[in-house]
Amino acid sequence: MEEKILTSQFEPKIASFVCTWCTYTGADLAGTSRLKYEPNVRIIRLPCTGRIDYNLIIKAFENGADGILVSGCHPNDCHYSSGNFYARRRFIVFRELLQFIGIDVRRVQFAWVSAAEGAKWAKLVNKFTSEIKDLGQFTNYQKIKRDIFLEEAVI
Amino acid sequence: MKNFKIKNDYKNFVKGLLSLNYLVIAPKYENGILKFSKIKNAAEILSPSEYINTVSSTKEYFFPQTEPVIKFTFEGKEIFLKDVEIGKKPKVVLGLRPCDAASFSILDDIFQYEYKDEFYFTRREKTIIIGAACESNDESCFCTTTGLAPDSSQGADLFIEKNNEEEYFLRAVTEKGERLVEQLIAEVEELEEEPKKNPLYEKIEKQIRKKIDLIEAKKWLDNNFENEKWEELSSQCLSCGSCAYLCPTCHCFDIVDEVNYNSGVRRKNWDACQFDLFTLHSSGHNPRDTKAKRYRQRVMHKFKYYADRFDKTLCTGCGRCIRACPVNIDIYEVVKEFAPLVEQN
Amino acid sequence: MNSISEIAKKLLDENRVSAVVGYSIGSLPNKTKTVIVKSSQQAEKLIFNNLCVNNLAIYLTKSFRLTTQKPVAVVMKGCDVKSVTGLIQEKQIEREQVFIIGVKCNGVSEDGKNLSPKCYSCKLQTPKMYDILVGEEEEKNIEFKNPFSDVEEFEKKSLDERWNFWMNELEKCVKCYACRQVCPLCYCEKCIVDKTVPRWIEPHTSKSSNLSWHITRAFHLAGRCTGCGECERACHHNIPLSLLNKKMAKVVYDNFNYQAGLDDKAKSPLADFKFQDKEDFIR
Repeated sequence: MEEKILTSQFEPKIASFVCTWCTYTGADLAGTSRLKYEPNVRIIRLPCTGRIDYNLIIKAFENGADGILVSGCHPNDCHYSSGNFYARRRFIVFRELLQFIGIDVRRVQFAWVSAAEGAKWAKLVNKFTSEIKDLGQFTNYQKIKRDIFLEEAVI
Repeated sequence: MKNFKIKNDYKNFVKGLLSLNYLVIAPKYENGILKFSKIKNAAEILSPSEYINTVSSTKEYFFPQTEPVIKFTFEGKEIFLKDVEIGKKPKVVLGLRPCDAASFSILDDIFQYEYKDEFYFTRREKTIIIGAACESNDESCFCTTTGLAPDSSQGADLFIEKNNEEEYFLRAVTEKGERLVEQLIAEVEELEEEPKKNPLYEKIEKQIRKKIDLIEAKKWLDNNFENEKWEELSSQCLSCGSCAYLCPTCHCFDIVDEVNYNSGVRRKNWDACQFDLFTLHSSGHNPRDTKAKRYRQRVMHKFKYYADRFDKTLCTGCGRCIRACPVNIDIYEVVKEFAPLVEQN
Repeated sequence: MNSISEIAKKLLDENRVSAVVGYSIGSLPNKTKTVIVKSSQQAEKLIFNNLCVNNLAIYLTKSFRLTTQKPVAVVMKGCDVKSVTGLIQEKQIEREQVFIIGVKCNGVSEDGKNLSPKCYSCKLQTPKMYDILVGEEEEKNIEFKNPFSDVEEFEKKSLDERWNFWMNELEKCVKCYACRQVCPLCYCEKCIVDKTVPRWIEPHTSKSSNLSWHITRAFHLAGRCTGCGECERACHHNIPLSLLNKKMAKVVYDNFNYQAGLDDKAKSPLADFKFQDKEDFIR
């Protein structure tokens, strides 16, 4: 079903939900350290990974994201002491649900990136972007969104 | 009006219909449920003896569950409007039971009351309704109460029936229907005499739940807007929309704008009176804030308000709400609470 | 052995409960009707037979303002009691607010012919929690089935097959929200689909918004669904909703060794964590 667009023109859209205390600061560090990394990632800053609602992920897919990167503090580093632990449990379950429905979970990546790990962030983004490039455009989800308008014209 | 015999079998007749370039919609099993769907070849068709009725009604083909009314885009401070196109292909809806066919005469009235609904009528005018008499019934059916019968052709353009010799024939009910049959002359043959009535229909009519006196029901409803019975009748309701969404005549809708950063669409979506959100004002006030009030609205709308306005009931007795209700609220039993049965000889 | 109607009559006469929620004879041959009985005269209506599929726990949160002085009595099968356990666990009701008339159940049927799917993997003929117990246990000669067998079967399909399967199934959804309304654990005062600012799930029906709704429903019930199967029964378009719920139950059981509705003191798995939870999927 999934058409692969493997030409060099395909630039995936990646939405990234990160926690403000660790990963966002880490990404900032990557910038101030003049590390060069793929520009496909759009960063959305949230207070904590514990705040990352699964609906954000669904909405991002609905609006055309090809991949989603969720990142926050390492275990025991959470600014709110346990937000990332709750998030970890939630993602264990949510990943399985996506897989069960038929969504390729390689498109949703979780990571721990601390405020000091600017280099890890840059590497992570590069690796994830190239993986999504290999997977191609997420046509399955984008197609059902388009279908809304096509079907109505028939009746 | 004329009557026509179907020369070969029912499937050949449908084949003829498909060759006329109509979009044919008929009962079909899809993903495990029987519903009105697009028919691509005649082999998929079910003959009128093969089903009682579909899970959902045909109203979705005239008044879709969700329908864009207008599309718009923003550029700077300007807003550009764009009309929505409706499918142009003529349609034939085939195999509707009398209860579904009759729903159109009800919906036609409401969709031109005070304001003519362009979307509904564009679809309605392009569509030919072919009804089919019932060859079986179940415990939920109560069409006789609403003045229908297993072989009543009200609302249909053409009507399929079995004659005394168990052969299908077409009854042209409207001119629109007759014009369609004229195009199908290879498949049909005009009958000189009025065909003899098949006794099956009378038998089924007797099997259907006894007729309730709806005039009496209305009289009771006229005087009992405030009555503790409503509380009791609705106490087990769970406020889902099954009854309203499957009903061939329920027509409440809600208008919603779905907006992105530079474009949007205004949609008409089905609404159901049993939902908590039904008639909720933006102030937070809801005139129908309890289950009892919402259930009263449902019964009153069907058997009183609509009767006041159009002298008809907003119910055709198809029994879908009874089959679907998860807690077995039975509108027939509810009406029977306050109205007597009609004496039958 | 007292029958349900006698017990209900006694409870109402002695003024011990404010109402009795139970089953009565339905209007269709293969259905029973749920009733809320408030006076002892009406108590005669109450019955119990193999058609009593409904999970009456739903009425505890939807129909009453519960008090400890005068509880509400509810007729409950073993599987239904699990929902009450869930509600107590999540602090929606207190144990003293309900009077459970437990019934020994020998399997129920939705259509009068076939046993309800949930009964094949049920080990709770006698409820785990009750105030009074009615009925007799029969020798059960139902072949016990692994509750997750269909989930495991489904997981063997390829990604695209699964996606196409759900697209076909979810396309049928008309958003009547019967699945939400019959669910004893869907007690939110305002459901996420009814919220307009922000609008997470569009109210229209389409593959994408139906998918969002069903992901939401399944995920909100992860680790909470007790498998009563009411959502699937209420769905007149036969969407296999239990399959999603069972998958969630399986994930929660495999990863956190937790089963919903068995312990009213336990913490809900998604409101809890352990340091050693798996993180092999996190980079």
